[in-house]
Amino acid sequence: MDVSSIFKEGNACFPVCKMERYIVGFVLELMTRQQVLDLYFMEARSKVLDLAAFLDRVDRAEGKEDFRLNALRHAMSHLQGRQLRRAEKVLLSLSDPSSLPIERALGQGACGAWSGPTPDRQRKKKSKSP
Amino acid sequence: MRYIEPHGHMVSRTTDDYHDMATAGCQVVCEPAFWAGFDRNSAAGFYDYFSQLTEQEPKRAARYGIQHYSWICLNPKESENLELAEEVLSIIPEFLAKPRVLGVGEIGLNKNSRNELKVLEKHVDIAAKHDQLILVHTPHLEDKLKGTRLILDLLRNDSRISPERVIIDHVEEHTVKMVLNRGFWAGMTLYPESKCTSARAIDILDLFGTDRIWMNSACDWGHSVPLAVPRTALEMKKRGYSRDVIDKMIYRNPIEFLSQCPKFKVPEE
Repeated sequence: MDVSSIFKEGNACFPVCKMERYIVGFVLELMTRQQVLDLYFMEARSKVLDLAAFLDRVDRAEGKEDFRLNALRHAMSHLQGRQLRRAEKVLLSLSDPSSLPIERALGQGACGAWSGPTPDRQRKKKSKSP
Repeated sequence: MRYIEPHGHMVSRTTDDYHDMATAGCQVVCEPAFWAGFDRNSAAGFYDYFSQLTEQEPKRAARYGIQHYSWICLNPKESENLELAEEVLSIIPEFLAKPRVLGVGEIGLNKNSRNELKVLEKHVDIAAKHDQLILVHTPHLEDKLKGTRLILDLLRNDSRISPERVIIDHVEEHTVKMVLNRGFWAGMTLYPESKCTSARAIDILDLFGTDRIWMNSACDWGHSVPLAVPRTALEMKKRGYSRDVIDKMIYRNPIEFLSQCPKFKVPEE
């Protein structure tokens, strides 16, 4: 594939993307940070606000929460810091990590989060056990 | 702009959608067999649906200058009833012989159950026996990672299946690498909420390149956008992708994969 034809001339690579380039084995010239911010900042700002408002809405509401809220909180922990592949980590944290097929499909839909223990819960469980 | 919609459930869309897609440059639409939103009760119901896909829908698309092809199967959401599944599987070969049917699809898993796996195995057997291309649906949301692994293992264990003749659809950041690394084609579905947004799909292209991958809207009766492919092409342009690479992604790549079926005809320029 002619990767050089993909991108505009003169675009600097992100320093943080050097690892990505190494992983996929070819050189990419991505947009500059400034260009990414110009194109996507307002959209990201809006989504963070929506998320914040959603969490406020949940907290204002009465009654018990279910496993999805804890799963979402755990997924959000991957947004902190400078480590790459955040989207992949969020998806993995919301996924069923088991490997065997289930006995029977009782419904059609998926709810977006796995109902099993998050790694945090698993750690707590292990630390309590003798 | 010219583009191919490689995965659209057009029986669920209006003629206005065909009009908009044609206006945006759509030349071909490919329609995999799908779940109707409720479980059908008889093989006769599937027979009528397959007839609609192979006979009626190409005529509707042709009114807008769009070529229509289809894929035939029992959708994984309806695989739990093995008795009915067997009846439906028995009528599939008749439709695979139709002139506008590209292969077996979209087969795969939904909730990753044992019966779904059994029916998937039977579909793969039909595809191998009839030398068909395969289009695979991977499960939704929290079930996708596990389902994709199960599907890839099943396909890799059948020596009759060539990975380059199989497209694994609905990949996301956590599944695309395992699909491409094992030699399969990957499909990215552009949905407003689930699956990939345009921005994330282009991120995946940034990281994995543009070989053996396509984009589709998978527009159906649910929350979906029939123009998702040309809108993503526009976003690729904003992000500095050249016209040539955009054309490869939305037109030449689908042709490369689909041309493995001798019934697929490249649109005339």
